[in-house]
Amino acid sequence: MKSTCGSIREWLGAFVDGELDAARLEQVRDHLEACAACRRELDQIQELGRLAKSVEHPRLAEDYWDWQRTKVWHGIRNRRRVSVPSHRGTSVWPKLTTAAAGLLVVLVVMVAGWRTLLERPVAVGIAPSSRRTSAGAPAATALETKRPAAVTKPDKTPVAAPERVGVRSEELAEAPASGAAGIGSASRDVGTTAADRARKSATASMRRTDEAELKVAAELAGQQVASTHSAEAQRDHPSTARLKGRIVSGPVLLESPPLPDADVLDTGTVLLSVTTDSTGRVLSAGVRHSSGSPKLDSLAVRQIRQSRFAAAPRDSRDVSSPFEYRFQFQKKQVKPVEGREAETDQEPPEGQRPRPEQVSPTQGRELQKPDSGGKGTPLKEKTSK
Amino acid sequence: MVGEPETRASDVELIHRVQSGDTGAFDELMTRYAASVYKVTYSLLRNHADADDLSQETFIRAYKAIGRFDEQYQFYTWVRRIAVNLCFNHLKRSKKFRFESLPMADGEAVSVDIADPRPQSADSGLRRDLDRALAKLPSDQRAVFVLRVNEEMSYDEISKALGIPAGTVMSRLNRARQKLRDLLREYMPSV
Repeated sequence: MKSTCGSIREWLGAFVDGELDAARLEQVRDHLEACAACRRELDQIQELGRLAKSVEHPRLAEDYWDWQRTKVWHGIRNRRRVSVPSHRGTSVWPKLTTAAAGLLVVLVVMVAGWRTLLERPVAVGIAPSSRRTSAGAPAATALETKRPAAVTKPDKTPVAAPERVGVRSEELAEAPASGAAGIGSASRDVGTTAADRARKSATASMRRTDEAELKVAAELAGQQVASTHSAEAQRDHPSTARLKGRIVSGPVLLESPPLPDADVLDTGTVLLSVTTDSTGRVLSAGVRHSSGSPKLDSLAVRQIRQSRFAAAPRDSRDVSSPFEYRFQFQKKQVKPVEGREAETDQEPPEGQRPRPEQVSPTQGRELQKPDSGGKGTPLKEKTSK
Repeated sequence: MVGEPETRASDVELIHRVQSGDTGAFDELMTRYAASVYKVTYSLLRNHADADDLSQETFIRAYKAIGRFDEQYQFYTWVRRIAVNLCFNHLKRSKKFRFESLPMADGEAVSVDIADPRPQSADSGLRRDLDRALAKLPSDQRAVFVLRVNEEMSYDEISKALGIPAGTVMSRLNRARQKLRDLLREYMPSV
């Protein structure tokens, strides 16, 4: 009896599922009549199935399905190759045509870029040899200028030196420094090259998000956090908690409760997966990538659950799509400050400082609120500067 | 449209209308099956945002491919297979991400969907524990378990949907059940 229990138990699941052939079915039945242990195991398998079925799924808003259909149609419209479906099999020609068109565009851009390089007059202050070097390796030049020395304060930790590949051209222009002056000039000169135009084009699509990002940072943390947008502000207000919220893609955050200072106890980045309804109400929020600290994860989720995003414009439901939202928490600078309670002074370790790409490059500029309903309101970053 | 069963068009009729360019017919198909598709995606992903996203993607792809719809299948069977494939690919891609619920200070689960207004109850406790138990399963075992238990798909259907042999379906299902029984021991009949 004992010797057959092992094989019988392997079949119990299939027995419950009605997937056994007649011979094995009979074998299992005979065994179950005689073996109480296998009968209990069978009971557990059946109970497990009952439990799994009994748990309901989230109850969704009444208009959720209408909204979802709208999103589907939006998605269908956005995929331009999807037109009226046809009985006919898919042809290879549309794909080839698209590939050829793409190739043509790339060639045109390349040719235009080289023509611009060849025809452009020599820039003042740039030796032809260095210009050729810059033109020959625009990417390398761009990377060098992404580490402007001017951003580093003397006797202060380097803050906000942008290193990301997609750094915008304005940043390059705003990077004057004694050591990097030549490179800065070169980058402005190379700014008319095809490579730079391509980079500008790539970063243009990020601009809306960056502007939204600034607003998020300001809205989320109020004046405390806004004061951390510059290294100078950090020096002037060392006791403020530093928090950055970055919208990877998604709608504008309209309101969010102030972050409880006491909860910002650690450093880390939390990536949330958020869904809003068409009115901007948060439907769901879950941790997509943890900071490693359950407390920070919880804080980020709680914060986003109490937030409200821009409502969908009448002609578009874009803002209602699921999106990712990145919180970056940084341990409080804890120094006794006049008029404030003394807090623990703890500079974040080198490896835990905010990553350069998460520091907005558009500090102090007046921003145009991304149009969420036809009314663009100029926004200004709330820096104390 | 749904409230008049006597005039309700069959799925096949609707599909023919979609194929001839009637977008309203596809809207009707979505109305009929959106909840079922969402249920599949949510069961597999245990995450509203992803389930919502992939449910939409399922219908977008279904619309795109409806010209090649084989009438020997039910529309739901076909669209469910699209959803399962999408979810399975998503799970494979996002293995690096964690899906388990994270405890909050007050004991509430972080990834509980806000859309669910029901108060905490015995059911929510079970749901949380089941979520956690399922999250601890490898994605291939979780997919097989959900498709069999929640979707009541046959081993053959699961085999075709996931592109694995029927014997593999059975062995993964056995392992999934064994792990879940261990993880949900408190809900199991005592041995």
